[in-house]
Amino acid sequence: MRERRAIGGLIILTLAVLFLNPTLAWKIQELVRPRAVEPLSELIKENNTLKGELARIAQMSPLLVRGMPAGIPAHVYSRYPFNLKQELLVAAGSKSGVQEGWAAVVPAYSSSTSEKAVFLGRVEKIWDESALLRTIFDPRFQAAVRIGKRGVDGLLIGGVNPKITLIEKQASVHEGDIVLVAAPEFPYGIAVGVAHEARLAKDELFQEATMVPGHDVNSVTSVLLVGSTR
Amino acid sequence: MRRKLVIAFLIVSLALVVEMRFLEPAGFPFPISLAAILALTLLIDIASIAFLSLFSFFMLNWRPGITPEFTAFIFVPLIASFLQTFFPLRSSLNAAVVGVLGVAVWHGAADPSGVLAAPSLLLFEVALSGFVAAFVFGFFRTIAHET
Repeated sequence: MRERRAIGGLIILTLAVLFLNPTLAWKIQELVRPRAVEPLSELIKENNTLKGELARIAQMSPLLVRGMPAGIPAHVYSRYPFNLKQELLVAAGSKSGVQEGWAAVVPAYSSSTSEKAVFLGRVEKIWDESALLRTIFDPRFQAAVRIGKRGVDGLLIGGVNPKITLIEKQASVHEGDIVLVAAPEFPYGIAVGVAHEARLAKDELFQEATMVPGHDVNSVTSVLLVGSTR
Repeated sequence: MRRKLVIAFLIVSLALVVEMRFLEPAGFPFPISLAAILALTLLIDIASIAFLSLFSFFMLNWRPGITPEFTAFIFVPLIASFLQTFFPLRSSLNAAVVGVLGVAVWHGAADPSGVLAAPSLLLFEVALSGFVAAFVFGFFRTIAHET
């Protein structure tokens, strides 16, 4: 009986720490995860600090070129135990002015599109110093889009292989047509990828097409958070 | 029961250290701690499993708030432990089966689309989970002098 009470107490204590002070776990993780240990003089420490600053600025510099929309740059945290790409945690939150529903954009990688900025996802939750993004690789993600120069309407559905549905049956969608975000909650016209393999949907009422994203999410180290223009 | 809990806690703690210190930096975030907990569902009571699951959740949590994968991380061992009351299983082979099924269910609950996108990786992980679970089962029985 005493032992059951002790286990019950441990469960309650763990729940309390989990909800009241979850960041305590991060401090404990710092003790467990490997880090390089080497004898450092003060000058070498300062040199490493400056290199770190330069690296952070270099990661941000693609976001600051002409052609990128105005927004709040944020680093993407890489500490993620399960390597899922539906969500990303970034180092900017309400204190930086970020709000729920903002768009996250990244520089395009050059082969997929001529656009500079490419839509990555939406700010789903925010905290003081961080924000959670739901990317276009999340099956729960949906947004209105327009395809190609004619602006064919469609609905982007997220997932491992994002696709565009509800395209009018008579509309003409070609391989390589640019796909632009057209949802009212985001700044209009940010590229999200290019259309690929348009075909009649199973219901035969609409067309659907797969989409090649305009970025490699595995190499994303920083994003630009852009608010709605409404 | 206290001795069993202490041994189980040490095993799970060791699994967490291996996962965070060696597997994650190597780019192979395999849920070894989950496999260990699943093996322990055959050996200790459900309250102890609940504590170990919560403790592992606390140690692995990477962002504020509760996520589907971590909710599944807590409930899959609890469900496995609950099912032990109807299907008492006590062998390394059964531990391997519980490990395989538990990790497969966890992947399905945490990331259903990922299961379809990389089935070969999933198969490798669940197979490895079976080996880990069987090893933990045998190791625990040896240490705890179970017969």
